This record gives sequence, structure tokens and C-alpha cells, in this order.
Amino acid sequence: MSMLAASIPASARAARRRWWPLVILAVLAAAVCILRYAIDRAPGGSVSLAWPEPAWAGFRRTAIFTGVIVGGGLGLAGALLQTLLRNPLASPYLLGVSSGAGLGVMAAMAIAASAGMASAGSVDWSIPAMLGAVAALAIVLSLGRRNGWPDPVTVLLTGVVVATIAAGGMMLLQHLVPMDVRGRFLTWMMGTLPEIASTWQLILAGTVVAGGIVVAMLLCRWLDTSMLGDDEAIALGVPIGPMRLVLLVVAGMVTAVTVSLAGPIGFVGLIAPHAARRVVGHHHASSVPAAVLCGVILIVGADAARQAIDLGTGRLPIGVLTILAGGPLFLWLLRREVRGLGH
Amino acid sequence: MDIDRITIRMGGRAVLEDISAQAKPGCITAVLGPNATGKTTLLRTIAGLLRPSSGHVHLDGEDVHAMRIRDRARRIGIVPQRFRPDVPFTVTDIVAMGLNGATGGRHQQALAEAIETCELGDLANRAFPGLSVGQQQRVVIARTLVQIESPGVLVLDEPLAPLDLRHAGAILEILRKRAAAGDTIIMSLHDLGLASSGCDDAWLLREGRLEAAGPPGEVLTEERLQWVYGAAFERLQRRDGREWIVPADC
Repeated sequence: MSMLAASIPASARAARRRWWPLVILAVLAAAVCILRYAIDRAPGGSVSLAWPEPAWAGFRRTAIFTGVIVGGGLGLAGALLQTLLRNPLASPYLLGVSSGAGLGVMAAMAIAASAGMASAGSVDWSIPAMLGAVAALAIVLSLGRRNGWPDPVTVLLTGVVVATIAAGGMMLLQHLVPMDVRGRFLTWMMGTLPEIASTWQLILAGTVVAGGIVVAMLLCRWLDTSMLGDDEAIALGVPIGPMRLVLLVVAGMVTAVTVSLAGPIGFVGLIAPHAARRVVGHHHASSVPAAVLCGVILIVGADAARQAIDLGTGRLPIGVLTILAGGPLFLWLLRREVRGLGH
Repeated sequence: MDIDRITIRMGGRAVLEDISAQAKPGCITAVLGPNATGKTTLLRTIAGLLRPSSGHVHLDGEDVHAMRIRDRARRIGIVPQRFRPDVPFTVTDIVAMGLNGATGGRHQQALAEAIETCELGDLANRAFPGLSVGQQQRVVIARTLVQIESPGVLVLDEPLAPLDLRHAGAILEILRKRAAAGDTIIMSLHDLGLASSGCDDAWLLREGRLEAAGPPGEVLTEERLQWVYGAAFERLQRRDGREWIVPADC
């Protein structure tokens, strides 16, 4: 009975300790959203904080909604994939989704150019991006199976090869299209949070990401147990194959909608889960929502920061900022983690 | 638990061939044999983790490979020979995984008891990767004790190998109590003395075949052990009257 008094309440206390950082992360996420809403750079270059005029408010709200969906989605997908593929370097783009989306967009741009669509710059590329992403995901999940269910190593290798093949296809199409189309594609590849997006598109993407969060939270105990290894998880009653398939589809679809909305934005899906685990630990009940919040903070924060940076060539693409800021941040987290292990 | 003519082929080779045996509730059955003779494969098959190429494993008349995975987990638990030592959770977290999400007072009581009986009280809030192999083994045994609703089946693959003598004795005592409560205990061992004096039945394997099954006194004859292990053994009489089997040349 003494252990009942000692270990269980201690465990409950530990669980409570994991919730407080989530509240702090939520407050931080709200703060960066407010910052993005208020930050403004005058044509002369001076940066100020003020509520926008009604004419601009809608654009900023759209950018924030998009940032929340994309950041949260990438954080969620990264957290799921790092557990499912048992690889701390797994990012949402390892499933070949971003390369598939890129090939879809490049193919659509090439078709538009060959059809003589002069105003191709105003075309919505989200549909070809989505089609390319889903096609790549379907190929990876159908070929990356062993004994009928997705196998982490096979999925990983298949994802890398599918991404490479898609990259080859992109290079071929870039070689064939005129220079201006090539430039437009490169801009898309750097990622951008649109300030104009259709309501249905935001609702659809938001629903996919929110649904993904719900599914992940429902299965978070199984995710914890799966970290013991397949045999032990199965022996403890976790249907590891079906769980892996469902969550890989969730991660893939969530990534697909984020890429179709904002293009491929690097590093967020890799770094957000690591940052989340540093803050709340490894239990998925807290690390999954924390990764979602970290993703929001990173994307919306980067979008707010790029409003204030002017290198004389217009605002920086958000993908450039997330990689240049996220890379060193990831290295710092890695060093702390290694030091924590005592190596 | 009935094992009915199971054969397992891997890469065209029969790892287990035509094994039939029975493990009785209330008994501890020792699975014995030299290295690479199919003990682990047999235990994984019994636990439902490996599907036999032919044959069946039945628990109370039900095929364990046709059971729903969650139902099977409540009735059959396995302590594997090897486990991941770097799972980043506390001892209590890992033992609680045996509850499979059950949170009632009865389950919390079982969790606390398992931690206490496996002498993990002082380690309850320690991180699993920071423990010694022996301590980690006791955590995995505690988790399996929590997992099984009696009467069930506990399958243990060399559970005592990483434990010191005192803890090995304590775990053996826990298993005896579980057997007395109606559980079926099946465990692989290399210690023939322990098998002969501490187990009710013994299955002796050689090159994937079951050489003999029954009470240890009948199964572990010197001629048979010589044939299976390729070494001589002798029987010693302990002070309590029980026999102990040791290699003759040690």
C-alpha cells in the first residue's frame, strides 16, 4: 500500500506538471498571432505596432489563419512521423509529399505555359499541389509495406526514393519551361503564407488539421506504447499495423494540405516536435499538442519577423527565415539533448 | 494451453517442427534447450506474436492467433528476452502500460502492488533508461504482472538471466504465487537445476524439435541431457531433499 501512496500521486503530479507548459505555449502562440496582426512596416522602412486599418485587417487575418493551420499541421505531422518512423530526424516531407506537390505544381505551370496562359501568375496552384502530394503519399504507403502494413524503414526509404524521382521530374519540367515560369516555381518552392485565400480552402485545410489532431490525441496512449517496439506493443494490445497506417495517412494528408496552402516550408515539422519534447516530455498526450503549438509559434512568429526585415528586395520568403533561424535553433536543442544524456 | 503440431519455417528452414505440448494452469513449465534451438520462437508463437506455418495454439479452446489483439493482451503476457532500454518514460509509466488504459481503483491497486512486489518502490519515478539491465527486467516483469487478468498465461523468455540471486529468487516466488492463483507460467531457462527443482513441467527442445515433455524428473534424464546438450550432467542432492542438475565437468 505504501507504493500506492508514493508512486501514483507522484505520477499524477508529473502529469499536472506536463500541462502547465502547454498553457504557456498556448499563450505564446496567441501572442505571436497578435504580433503578426499588429506589426506593420511603412513604405519608408520604419516598423510599428498598431491595429491595422479595416482595409488591411482581412489580409492579416488570412495570413494568421493560414499560419496557424500550416504551423500546427507541420508540428503535428512531424511529431507523428518521428514516433511512427522511430527517427528523430523525420520531417513531414520525408513521405515524399512536398516533392510530389512540387511536381504537381511544376506540371500545372508547364501545362499553363504551353497553353499560353499569360496570367498564370494568378492561378491557384493549391489543387495541383494537393493532387501531387496525395499521389506521392499513396505511392509511398502502398510500396512501403511489409506483411500488409506500413514498415518504418521501408516507408522511410520509399519516401526518399519517391521524393528523389519527383525532384528529377521537377528538374526536367524546369528545363522545358520558359525562364519566367521557372522563377515563379522557385518562388513557390520557398513557401509563402498567402494573405488571400478562399474561405472554403481555409475551412477544408483547418478541418483536416483539426481532425488529425483529434485522431492523434485519441491514439496518443498507443503511440506511447509503440515506443517499446512492435512486439511489446502488440503483446500489450496495440494493433500496431493499423495504427501506423491510420496515423501515416493522417500525417501525409495534413502535410499535403499545408503544402497546397503555403508551399513547402522547411524545418518547422522537424524542429517543432523536438522543442515540444524539451518542454513537456515524451508523453504524446502532451507532446502532440505542444508540437502543434510550437509549429504555430515558429510559422506565425517567422511571418511576423519577416514583416520587419527588409533587405531591399521585398519581404523575405518565409521558408528562408524558418530554415536560417530553425537550423541553429535545432543544433542548440540537439546539443542540450546530448548533454542531457550525459554524452 | 494446448500447442497442437506447430511448425515454423523461416527462409525455407524449419525453426520449429511439429511441436505438440500442453501447459497446465497452476503450473510452471520450463522450456529448455541449447542456444538457437527455437525456445524464443516457440514462446513468441505461444504469445501470439508469431503465426505458425502450420498447427495451432489454443487457450481454453480458442486459437490465440485468431483472438482480438486487445482480448489476447488481457490473457497472455510476454516478458521478452530483449527490450528497448532507452524508452524515455518513468518506471511507473512503463508498468502502467500493462493496464492498457484501464484507470479504475482496482487497476491502480494492481499497479501499486506490482511495483511493490517487484521491489521497484524506490525507483518508481526514475527514468527507465537510467536503470541497470536487472532493474529494467524487473520493470518489464511488473508490467506483465499488471497486464494479465488471472487466470491467464505468463510467458517469460529467460526472465532470470539478468537478475542477481536474491531478485531471481524473489521473482520466482512471485511466479509461484501467480501459478498458485491459477495462472499458467511458461518460461525459458538455461539453469537445469532451477528447472528440476522449481518447475512443475519441462519441455526439452533440440534443433527445433520437442525431445520430451513432462515432469522434470522424467524429462531431464542424464542420457537425454547428454544427447540434447552434448555434455555430461550429474544430479546433486540438496539439503532440502530436492535434486539439482549441474554440468559434470564444472
